[in-house]
Amino acid sequence: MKIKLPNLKGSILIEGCITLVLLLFVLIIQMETIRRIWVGAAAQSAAFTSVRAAVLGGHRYLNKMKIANLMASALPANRGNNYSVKLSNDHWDVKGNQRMLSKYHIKYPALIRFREAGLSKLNFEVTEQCHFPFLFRY
Amino acid sequence: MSFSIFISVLIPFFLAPFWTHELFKDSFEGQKSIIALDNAAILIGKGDRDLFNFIKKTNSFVTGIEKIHHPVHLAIRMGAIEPKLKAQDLGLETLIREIHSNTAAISNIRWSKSSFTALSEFQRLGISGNILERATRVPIVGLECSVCHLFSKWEVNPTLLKTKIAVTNSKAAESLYVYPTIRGLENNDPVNYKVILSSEGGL
Repeated sequence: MKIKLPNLKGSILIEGCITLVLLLFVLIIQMETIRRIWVGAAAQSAAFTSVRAAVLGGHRYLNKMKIANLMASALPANRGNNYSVKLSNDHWDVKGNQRMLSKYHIKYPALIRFREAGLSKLNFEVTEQCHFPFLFRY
Repeated sequence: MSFSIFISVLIPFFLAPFWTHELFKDSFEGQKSIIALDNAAILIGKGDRDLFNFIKKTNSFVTGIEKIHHPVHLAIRMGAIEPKLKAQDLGLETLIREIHSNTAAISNIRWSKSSFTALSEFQRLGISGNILERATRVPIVGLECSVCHLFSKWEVNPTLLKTKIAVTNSKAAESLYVYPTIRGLENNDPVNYKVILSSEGGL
């Protein structure tokens, strides 16, 4: 008895194409997620270093240089990527709670930019902050 | 959706948490090392503050005893021969000597204790590669009384007060100086402590 199988060639091709397209999207999303987390970790480290140095009476210029080195090593500006890093509002004393706060804001370009298509989402932004739980009162 | 699509798409989704975990792990370990260092420095500072305040209190207590002892001692030197006065003088001198030597012994124990407490903070958080540079004994010198020539009080040796504490491992390399802020053990200002980044050069 001869079993007649359906012609699967066309369906495999379509399934393969769909898989590849979906895989591409998934990989792009994953890359963006990992970049987001990378930048977030860098910003959090910078906020921690900054607020700790401020609490321990570090020199302002030396602290800035230290954080600039940290950022340069963590966020390499390759492929023309411009990471704009700024310390928003500087570190300040939260009144009443005797603690300090530092907030870092990083704006970085998206992996794929559809500038020509007129899409407005060209950059992503990450803000991380660090509360130092106490102040030294001499 | 067929199984091949499901597998192809979901494998990166399953892997992503592992990748991101590794990203944050280094940052977390580095910050944990630095926080352990800060905690250890604070414990040393608090221990030193309590210790030097204790020595100051002892000094003021001895000053009180000297106010009783000096007239008795001077009377005997001027030629008083009452046995009661002699016994009082001898008793007060013994008391002052005991307080002097016991203060040194207790201070050395407390000085070592704060070092061990600081190092145990690293142990508690599982941090390796810690360094503590500190005088082995409490940096105090005995003061001789100008009236009775007994070593009664203690004064601090400011050159040996500085404690350097550092952590050097693959995740973090940082060091701090801890200073008790003392203007001498003879005045009435309470002792406190200061923690400074070693990159600032200290005092």
